[in-house]
Amino acid sequence: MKIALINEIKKIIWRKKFLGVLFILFVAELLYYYRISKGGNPEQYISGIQISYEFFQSIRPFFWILAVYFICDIINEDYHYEMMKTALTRKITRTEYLFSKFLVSVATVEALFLFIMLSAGGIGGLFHGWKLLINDGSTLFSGNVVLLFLVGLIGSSLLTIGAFTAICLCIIVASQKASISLGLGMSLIFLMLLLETDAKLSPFLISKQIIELPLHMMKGSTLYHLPGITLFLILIIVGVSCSVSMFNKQDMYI
Amino acid sequence: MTNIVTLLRFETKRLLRSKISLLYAVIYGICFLISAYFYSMYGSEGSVLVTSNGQSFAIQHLQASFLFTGVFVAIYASSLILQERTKGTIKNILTRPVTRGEFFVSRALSLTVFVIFISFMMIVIGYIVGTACFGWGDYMEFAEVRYTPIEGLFQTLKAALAFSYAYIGYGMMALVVSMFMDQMITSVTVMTLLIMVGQYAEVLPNMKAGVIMHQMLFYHIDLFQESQAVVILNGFVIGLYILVFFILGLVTFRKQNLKV
Repeated sequence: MKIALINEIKKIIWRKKFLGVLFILFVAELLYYYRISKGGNPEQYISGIQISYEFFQSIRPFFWILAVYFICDIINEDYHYEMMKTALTRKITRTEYLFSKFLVSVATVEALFLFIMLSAGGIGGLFHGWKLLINDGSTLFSGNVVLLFLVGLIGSSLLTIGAFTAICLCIIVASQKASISLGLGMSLIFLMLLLETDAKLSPFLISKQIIELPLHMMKGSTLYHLPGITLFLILIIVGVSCSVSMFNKQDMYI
Repeated sequence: MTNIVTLLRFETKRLLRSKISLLYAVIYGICFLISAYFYSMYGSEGSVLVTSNGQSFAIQHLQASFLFTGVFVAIYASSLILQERTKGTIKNILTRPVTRGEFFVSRALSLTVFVIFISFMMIVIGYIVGTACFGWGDYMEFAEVRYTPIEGLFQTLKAALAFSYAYIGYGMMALVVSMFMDQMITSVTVMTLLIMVGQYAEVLPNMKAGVIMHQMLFYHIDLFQESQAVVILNGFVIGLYILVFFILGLVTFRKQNLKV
């Protein structure tokens, strides 16, 4: 398991694709900050946390498209280059191989998310201070309750990214084709974005809850979102176990 | 010419028999059902639907499927040359008496067939979902004009063709982009991000007509709302995209080291 994990992490670093995307995102953040500073900032209480929250809200669809890209790139790679046979001849079981792919995918997308939040927050914080302030559009929150938002952000991102990666893993293992994995992965994102306007369905949508869940934690309404949290956990467990089961039975003589 | 026709016939057969076409149909179906659900819940405020009947449903949803169609066209365009190259199957084709030019022309034509096919598939699914949810209705209404059923059918087909025309320009662009990429995943992601960024062209009134994403969104609507001069100008812009990317693709493909 350790060998498979280290190998996957090394591949991510060597290919430099990830670093390239991070650089582009950083430039986008600078442009975003330039735009809001040019437009005049009427809100005196705005903070670095507020800027990172608003920046992520504005690029959320792009983030999820990049998430599909990285997940498909990491998991689908050996199918694409027909290297599965070589990968599986090492001293690792199929379960370990797939599980390490899942973990690296989650870690990559999580790193992408944290980079966006931290760098946008960092740029905002440099100019607006490191105050614990956030405004969700109707209420201004300050003090320790904002710390809860920051903790919730890590928890919700791990949960939602994990659930989405599990779904993608299942699709990739079942289809073994990049075209189907990409088509379904991206369609899933667009369908979720489409459904976000419905208040009843919103707590169950991965695309929205990545950023909404910490807000509700801060407001103390986590219990209302318990069905959604349960669904995400179920998706992780069922998605990963189904993928492992399918992968173990697959004919790999390609 | 015979070679081009043979290659085109093969690609068309593959397209019609592939499971992915069925998958696209299912995704469009779900998308249209969501739209119908939103209309029944929130009225025309919460949906792209203005007139709720089977006849008007299909034409009203062409624009709403902008992102889905963009992704599907990018996937197909990327698979046409890139997948043949990465899998090494391009060698089998090019060792036969087929020139690179003929191969590229057949791929460009296959892309055109795919875009027209997917647009008409959308229309058919739109009619089915619309009629199942709201009934066929007495008239077709689009852009605040009412048409008789026969005339409405003709106008819907005309809009679908205009819709396809804009997507051929985008597809040619995707075809060329895919030739510079190592994987289909990268090519499709770049094209998807491009269509999402391209939507922001709407905030630039002087430039938007020159952006293919604007044409993908509005060309079929412009047929009903704008003057003939504007429609001709927009058609010319799309034609220019098709021509430029076709020539660029052809030149690149002829000189490209296929490394197979």
